[in-house]
Order: sequence, then structure tokens, then C-alpha cells
Amino acid sequence: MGKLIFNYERCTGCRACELACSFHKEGVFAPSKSRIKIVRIDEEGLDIPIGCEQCDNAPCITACPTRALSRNTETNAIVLSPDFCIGCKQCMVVCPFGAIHFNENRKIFYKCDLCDGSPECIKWCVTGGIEYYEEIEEFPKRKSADRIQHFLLNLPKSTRPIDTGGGKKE
Amino acid sequence: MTFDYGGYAGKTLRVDLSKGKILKETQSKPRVEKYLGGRGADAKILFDELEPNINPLNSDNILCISTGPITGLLGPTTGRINVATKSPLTEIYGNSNAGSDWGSELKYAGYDNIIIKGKAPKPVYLCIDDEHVELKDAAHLWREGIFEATLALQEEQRGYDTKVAAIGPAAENGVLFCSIIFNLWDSAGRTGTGTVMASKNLKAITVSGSGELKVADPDRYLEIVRDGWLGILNDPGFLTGEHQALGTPICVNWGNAQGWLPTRNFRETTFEGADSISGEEFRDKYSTRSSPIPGGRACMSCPNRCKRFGRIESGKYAGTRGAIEFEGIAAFGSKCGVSDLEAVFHAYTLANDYGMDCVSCGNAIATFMELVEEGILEDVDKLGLKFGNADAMVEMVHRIANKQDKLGSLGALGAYKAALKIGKNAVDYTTSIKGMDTIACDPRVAKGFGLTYAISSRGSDHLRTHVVFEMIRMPPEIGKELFGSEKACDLMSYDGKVRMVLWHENLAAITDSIGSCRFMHGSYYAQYPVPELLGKLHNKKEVNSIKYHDWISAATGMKIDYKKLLDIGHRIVNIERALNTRFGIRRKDDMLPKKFSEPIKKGPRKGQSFPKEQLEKMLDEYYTNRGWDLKTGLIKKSELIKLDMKEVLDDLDKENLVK
Amino acid sequence: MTNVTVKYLMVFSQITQKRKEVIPISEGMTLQDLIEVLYAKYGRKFKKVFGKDLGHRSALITINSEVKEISYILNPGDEILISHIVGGG
Repeated sequence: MGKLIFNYERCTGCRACELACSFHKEGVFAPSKSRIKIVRIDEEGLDIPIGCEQCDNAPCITACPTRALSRNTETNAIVLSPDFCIGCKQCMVVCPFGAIHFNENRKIFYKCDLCDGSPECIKWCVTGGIEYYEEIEEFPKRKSADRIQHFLLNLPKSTRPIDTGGGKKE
Repeated sequence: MTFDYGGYAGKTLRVDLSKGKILKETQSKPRVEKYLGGRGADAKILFDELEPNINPLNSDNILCISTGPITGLLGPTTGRINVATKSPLTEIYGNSNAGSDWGSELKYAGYDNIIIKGKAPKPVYLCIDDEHVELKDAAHLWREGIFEATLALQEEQRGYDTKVAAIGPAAENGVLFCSIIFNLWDSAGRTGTGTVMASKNLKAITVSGSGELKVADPDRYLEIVRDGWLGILNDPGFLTGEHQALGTPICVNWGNAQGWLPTRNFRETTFEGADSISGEEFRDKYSTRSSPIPGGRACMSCPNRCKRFGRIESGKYAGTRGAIEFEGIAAFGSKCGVSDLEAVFHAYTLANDYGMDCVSCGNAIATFMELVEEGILEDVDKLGLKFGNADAMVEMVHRIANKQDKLGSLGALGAYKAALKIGKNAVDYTTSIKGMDTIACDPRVAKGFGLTYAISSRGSDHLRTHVVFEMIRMPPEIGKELFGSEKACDLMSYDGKVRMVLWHENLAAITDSIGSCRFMHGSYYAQYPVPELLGKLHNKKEVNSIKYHDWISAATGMKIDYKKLLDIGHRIVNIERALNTRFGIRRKDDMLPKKFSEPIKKGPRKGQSFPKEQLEKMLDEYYTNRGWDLKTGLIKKSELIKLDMKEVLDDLDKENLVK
Repeated sequence: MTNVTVKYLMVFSQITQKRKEVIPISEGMTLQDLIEVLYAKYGRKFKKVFGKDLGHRSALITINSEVKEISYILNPGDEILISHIVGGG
């Protein structure tokens, strides 16, 4: 029952996980070939890591017409078999997190398989923006409470206008 | 692999704006062998291709933007980008360095560097999307602030996946010290690179890349990089967690405590209001993330995350938001005598949005304030310019950016050129060296910084060496081992400082040229051999460190050892000097302004000065080590031959610029 | 009774929840004694970030802008500043 936990409030947007992932899986440094994607929202100073949540009731598995996606019972990862994949992109469309990537150069889908239970990305994350739990029950309740508190505390701020007042126009 | 060496993307992008032509060249092999990339390669390109006597705002000026061989390759702090040109502010070699992930993205798109020439007939922006590179109309973006322009371009392109380097309205107005701003918060600020970009009618460069980068020896590379990450994570300075919690504004209170925080245009070195403009204050009142800020914001692959975000919720400046850095706080705060952090923060974001260099802008305002107080300059626009007047300071930022009225247009020239225009003895009140104003550290207290300011190739600048060694109280044994003097680590001692500056300068040239950050060998000292020496001192068995020579070797496949690494650094310093000799820089220009030879009048560092004789003595030693002529400051022929720079020697010899 | 002013910078100001405070001292009190008082007052977290030795690896204490030995005897009116050693720019 392994799972990656993404903590946006801890992510600094250094993108080391993207590079570690692509290097570990493909042997090259290329964020476009990473299973994890950091969305850097520059104007808010926010960085949000996006990756596969390994959903229990996974829409991608349901949507796949050729059963190219299946669950690895050992690691709980949803794995893509390239041999069966016909490239219809249905999984990409239905994924609520946008966690399945498609690279135009090589016509191949990228899907997190939890590196057989030892994810490379977390080894390079120095802030705890991504964490790995082998048993999801380990995930501390307190942490969930903290996340909700953080969200509530920050709520009114995000409704502020963007204008810095610079670039005054006549 | 398309290019013989790993790590590099392998292509150079040449853009001729006058003709609208874009050329993709293979990366020059001899150039990267000798100068690696980044700052070194840029200096070589300018040396080879730039006509020295042009006006910097002429269309013939060249704007180089370069990454290094390890940019975007997972190593710690590898998101730096270098910009070089002939500076409109100083009219000599100008360059500036910025963070963010723009540089890495450029490499993923397939290009190591961009060389921009000519002038577009109408405003354009350069759009790089893998192999599709084109110039697009930017008429709708002209006159827009950085914020608006960047967000609009991201919307037009691939959203957050598009990285944007833009210039602001101040640059379009011809303010001489404008910056190029990468992804909203990272700016290649100094020496007016943005002004050059604006003079070419180039509003922005957008990049998005989906390509890949390979290294020569993947297994070994990963090992070295892991060692480097551990080196920085185990650094004593890093372990305190302070830099990650407060960002660079940490230096406000700290500099004040050490007595080198420039106050009221360098009249004093301690500021009574330091606490109210400090990083601590910013954290407690304006930080947009919960404290201790677990994650600030980082450049590419950086554990240090020195950017701090904040927002003013209420009051006069409500709605001001953004990231803040120490240099900006000191420039608008202590240098102007302003102790209102909200005003400083507001001025800072304004300067960012206008696209101006905070340091030069703040210095110009501070200099004017002193000149008005001394009765040399008349406050013709009735702003109430005097130290401590926050409203006048904020108003001046607007006026300088728009070149409004007399003081605004004067300020747009930068402190030094404005002082020359004012006449009388106004120049004595500036702190400019080679035409560039001094950053926020008083060299009368930090002696190593003093020598750095004098010799730095782009004018008064600390980042050419960043000898933080003397500030963080390294053990004396290390000073003895590396620089031959136990006193080298003392802030106010002159002993060993020349060797210290030389070592730091060589390494700084390397970090700038490979695309790594200055903090790794200045501030943190995670760089070989310092952790090893510290480990020996504290009997630690396992030591991790960043080994640049191994790192470059494994990434590119070149054979570089520690000694050769320092030699390359030496060569890069020399190519910059060669370029500067063409612009007329001689020994007389390696000086400190009059202000710093006068003793400090107040505070705990009272009486300290940087005497001229002392500087001359240090310069003699420095020149000897660099292989430059003691009298003129020209490079010696023998040194260029030793450094395998025959082609540079031939060129300089024709112009009679070597000894 | 005489006093000294203690200023807290950086993370110390977060733990103590204040930027500065006035602490009463007795005759002949050394810097070491003062630190013990602060340890007792602010507890585990403070002690942890303080580090063990007063060298270049942990907290930096300056008294009236100068670094002093741990055995330094405090004078009334001294300004003690507690910070970490960092670099930046």
C-alpha cells in the first residue's frame, strides 16, 4: 500500500525530483520525461508538485480500453505496459491530477510506478515536499490537521489583487 | 550525442535583430575547453566580436546570455544564467548573473547560449520552443511592467511551463541601470543589461524546452552530485537553517551587528533602525508562508531556497507583494536612512516592476539625499529629499523610472554619471568604482571586500570574489593552510587577504562559468578543499564536499583536476581584463573611492578606514600574482602565453595593449 | 540590581518570541552564567539551536559588537547579541 504524499506548502520548486526521476528512469536529465511535475506559480511564489496518487478506484484503469494500465499488488503502484498501450490518451484525459505525461518527441507515456517501492524522487527532496509512505495508515493525522490549518490561515490572502502598483500608466 | 562534450546542449543561438535572422550554430569546442561557458565564454565572445569603441546603446552592441555545462543537471544550485554586454552604466565590460530555472529550460530546449546583435525595427520578443525559434511582435507588451508582461507571455505560450526573461518600462525609457528579470523574481540586475536589451527593441525572451541532456559518465556523475548535495547539506552554516528561514535579508541585522551595514550613503556603518527593516521583521509581519518558513522558493536544484515571499495586508502600501533580498533592503533602507520596512518593500517591488537594478537605484537616491543635505544639489523638484524621508524615496523610484523632471532624469544616469553632471565635488560623495556604485558592505570594515571592489572587472562588486570567509569566523588554521596567514579569517586584518581574494576570484569565475551559484564557495564553503580541512580539524571521518573539477569532468568528459580548475579561473579573469584594457581600464581605475579612505565617524567601528597606501600595496601583490604589469595594469605577454591564450595575445599585441 | 540587554536574531527570536529583553545580572556574573539562565528560561529548543561549543560551528555571541570569551564578566549595560553565523549577499 505504498503512496507518495505531495506537500505543496513545503515544496520550494527546485525541481530536483523531476531531474532525479528522468535520470533514474531514462538516464537523461529531462523534466519533460519525468513522472513528477512541479508547477511553478511564479506570481504567487507557490510551487505545486503533481504526481500519481495511485488512486484506489483509479479512473485511468477504468478508462484504458486495452488494459495497458494495471495495479502492482506488491507496491500498490498503477503500472503502464508500453506493449499494450495504443496511445489513445484516455488516461491523460481522465486523470484528475494531470499525473500522466506524454512526450511528443518519443510518443511515450510516463507514469509513476513508485520505482518498485523505493522512489528515487524522495531521495533528492530536501524539504519534504514529497514523502513516501509504505503503509498509508502511517500518514500521521496531525500532519493532515496541520495542512488544513495552514490552508485556512492562508485563505484570505489569496484573494488579494496582483497589482504591485508599478508600471503606472498615464 | 550531438556535441563532443556531455552536459552541454550543444548549440548556440545567434539572433540578428536588424535582419530578423536566427542561426543555430554548433557550440564552439575550443571555446568551451578554455572558458567552459557562462561568464568565461561570454567574455571571449565579446572579446572576439565586439567593436570596443561603440556606444553601448548602439545597435552594434552584443548581448550574450549563457548557461554553463552543469546548468540543469541535478547538481546543487545549478540554475544560474549569465548575461554579458558592454555596459551603458560603466561603458566597460558589463555582466550580471541571475538564478531561476530559465537557464535550465534554455538547455532543455537545446541551446547553451544566445548571442543577440542588431536592433529590431519594432518591438519584438524572442520565442524559443525547442527547435521552433522565432521573433514575435511585442507591440502590445511595450510599456508594460515586468509583472504584466511576464504573465501575458506565459498566457500566450505554455502557461507556467514557459519561462520568461523580460525588461520593464524603465529600460525602455533609457534608465542606464536596468535589469533583465527572469521569471518575475530573479534579475540579472547590475551594469544595465536590461537597458541594452531595450535598446535592441527586444522586450522579452520566452523559453520552453522538452529536450534532454546527457552527461559523459552517468554513474560517476550521480555519485559526485550526491556528494555535493551532502556537502552543502552538512555545511555548518547551512545546518543552522537560518538562510533557508530568512533568506538573504538575514544580513541586515547581522551586518549591523558586525558593523558593516552602509548607512546614510556610507556615512556610517551601523543603522539604528536596522532591526525594523530586518529579515526577522519581514518574517514576523509580511511573510506569506507560516513561520519558520519550511519552504521558501528555490532556483533550479537548490536546497538553499533563499527567496522570501511577503505581502503587505493593510495601510498605505497594502497590496505590495513579492520576494525581497538583502541588497534591495539595504539600498532603499539603510543607505537612504529609511527605517520603514513597508516603504522599502514597496520601493523594492516598484523597482522590480519597472525593471531597474535596486542597488544602483537606491544608491542614486541615497547619493542625492546626501548631496542635498550637503548643499551641493538643489532639491529643485521639492521632494523633501533628505535621509530618512520614506515618501521622497518612493517618489524618487517612480521619477527615476519615468525620467520625470530634473532629479528623475539625473537619477536615471546612475549615481556616478549624475555626480559628474552636477559638478563641483559631487563625485566625492559617490562610492563608484569604474562607474558602478558599491553594494551594501562597507570595505573599511571588511578588508577583503575592499580589495575585491577595487579589482572587480565589472566595477565595484562583491560577487567577483564574495570573500565571506572573513565574516563567518572560519578557524584560523584554515586561513593559514589556504592563504598563508592565520589572520586571513579576521574581518579587519589585511594579512593573507590578497591570496584569499585570488583564490575566491578564481573559483568565482568557475562557478559563474559552469552555471553554479556563488553561495557554494562563498557563504557556505561546501567546496573542496574547505570541508576536508574542517573535517581534519574536527576529526571527522567522512566528509562530503562539492568537487567542481570532478563534477565538470564527469559531466563533460574533459579531464580537469583541482589545479587546472584554478588555472581556468585565472584564464577567465584574464580574458575579462583583456577585454577591459580595450575599454581603457588601467591600474588607475583599480581604486577605491575617496569616501573609503576617510575614517568612519561614528559607531563601534569608529576610526576604521581603507588607506590608499594599503590598497596600493595589496594591488602590487595582486598584480604580481595575476601576471599584470605593476605600473600600467596591462597583462604581460608571458602570462598570456602561459595561459595558452595565444590568439588573445595576437589581438592585443596588434593594438599595443600588452606589456 | 543591574541589567544587561540581550538581543535575539534569526531563529533565536522565534524561539524566544521576542527580539530583545532586559535581563538582571548579579555581581561577577559571566557570559556562561547568562547562557545557563537563558537555557533554563527557553528550554530544549533554544539549547538545541545554540549548539554545544561557542566556536565557529554554532551560535555567535557578540557583546557590544565584539566577540568575547565565555568567561567574560558581564558589565551593567552590556548589549549582548545572539545570532548564528551565516553568509549571504
